[in-house]
Amino acid sequence: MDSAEAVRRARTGDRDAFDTLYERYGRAVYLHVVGLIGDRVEAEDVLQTAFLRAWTHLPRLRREERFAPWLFRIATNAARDALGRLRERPRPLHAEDDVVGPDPAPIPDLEAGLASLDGLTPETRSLLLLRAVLGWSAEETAAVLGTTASTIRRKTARALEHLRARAAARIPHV
Amino acid sequence: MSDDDELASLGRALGTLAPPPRLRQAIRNRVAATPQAGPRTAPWWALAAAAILAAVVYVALTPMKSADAPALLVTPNPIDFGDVRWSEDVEREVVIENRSSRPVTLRDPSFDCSCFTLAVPPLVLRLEAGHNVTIRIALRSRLAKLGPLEKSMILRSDDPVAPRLDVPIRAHVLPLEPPR
Repeated sequence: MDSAEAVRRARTGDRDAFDTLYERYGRAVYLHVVGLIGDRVEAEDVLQTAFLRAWTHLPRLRREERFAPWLFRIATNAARDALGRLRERPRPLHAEDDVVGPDPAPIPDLEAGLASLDGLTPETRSLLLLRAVLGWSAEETAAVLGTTASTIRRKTARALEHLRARAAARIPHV
Repeated sequence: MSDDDELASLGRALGTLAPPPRLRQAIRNRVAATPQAGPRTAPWWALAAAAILAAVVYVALTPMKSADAPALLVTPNPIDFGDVRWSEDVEREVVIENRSSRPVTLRDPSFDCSCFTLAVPPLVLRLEAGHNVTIRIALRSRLAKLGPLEKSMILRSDDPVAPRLDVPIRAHVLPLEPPR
């Protein structure tokens, strides 16, 4: 079943079709939200909220081919709501000791990878995660984030330059 | 290292970043317990505004077919021959259209100056609703006075609203050029 067919079916109340959509887009939306809010536990809540809102309002989506950008917009809005709540207790992107609840067990490479993204803007972290983890092209990323491929390429290049500069600053001079 | 290599390297470091599998079941459960909203409908005031706009557009764009309007429309109106050198014979095409919803029978057009004639055989014509006919009118300037000419074509028909239609005809007859 392709995405458009799954959207058509889900729009008429087919919950299995909606589950197919989660299977297809769940991880991408999660990465997007982790990038935006920098908190993996909170991202899980936002992911649930976003998919639940998408399910509720799906009958109002007129063009099924616009599902992905529409879903990402819902997730972005849900992430903004969560950020408002998080501002009272800001946390870095990687897990630290200020964790409440069942935070995922830290995995060294993952933590180091996430920590390396600290200092980038939320939007840049999001697009970098989509491109690096899912291997999405600039065009694919642009389509869901509602921007142009050239903007994505420019921001990716600038972000990688920033990461290189930070890595170089950490290497002690001999 | 190229940007692509660097992205791939970052991807390897973050490769395990994914929502926990339990989330999928949690979302399934919540979806199962949540009804969907109905399709979006426009607010009542938007529907009312759209209905009023549609009515206005319909009235503005619907051709006049009321009983008070003449059935025949003549184009061009007035019929203008412009400048005509004396002794020249000039013709103009005129379209007569039946805009009504019933057939109309036309009789030969007549003119209030013998300088105008119909350049086709005599016309008695039944014109169906919405149909048109093209006639040709000739100006024989030898039969006209020099200077501006303001005359009429009289169109008779069985149209109950306008059985006689006067269509103005204009021309300006110029003197012959002196031989060089």
